Amino acid sequence: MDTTIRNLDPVLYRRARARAATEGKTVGAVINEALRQHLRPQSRTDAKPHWWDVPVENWGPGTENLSNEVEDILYGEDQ
Amino acid sequence: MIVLDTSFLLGLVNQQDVHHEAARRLQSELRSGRWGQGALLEYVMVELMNMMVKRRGAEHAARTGRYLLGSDLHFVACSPLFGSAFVACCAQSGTRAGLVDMAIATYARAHADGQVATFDRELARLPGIIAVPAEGA
Repeated sequence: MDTTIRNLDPVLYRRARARAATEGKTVGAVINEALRQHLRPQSRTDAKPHWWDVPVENWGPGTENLSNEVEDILYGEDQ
Repeated sequence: MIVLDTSFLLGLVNQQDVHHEAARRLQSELRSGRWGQGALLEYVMVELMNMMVKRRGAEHAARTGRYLLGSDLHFVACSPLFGSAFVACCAQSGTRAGLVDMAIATYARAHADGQVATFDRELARLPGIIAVPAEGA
């Protein structure tokens, strides 16, 4: 069937289009597969925790810039 | 899919980090499924564990590391990536990306439409890479 979908996320649409091109499918076929996958009954036995729920802690003063300094800390000062 | 960089993961797990709020905002988008599955390269896990052991101790590193490896992340062993990452590292011009960054970029281009969660500006400059969250987001 043909339909119009409002408020589609442009990033998701771009990725669906790229996937379709890579796999030689239509965008509709890729979206159908994604919907089918999403609507499939969930199995609870093999459920793993989501990575983004990784424990967050306060590392204390002096650790504010570690995300910017990781290269320097691990590999030495930039020359 | 989105490939996770060490800088992003450090920003996410440390409340004190200057990028923590930006990482948390991206975390919300990840929950919504906007960026697809997360991919963690073996090289990135090595960097993250080394940073955590150095700055927080082995016990904390083990706790966080075990959580990530037991989670729904797609873990990528890096031996198959080594050759192409090494060639890209040697051939780069105008950038100074290390081997780990080149492996991340190689995998992201091939499997994640170039999308990388990172706060590393050098990595973000590599051709074909879309850094998420965008600078200033």
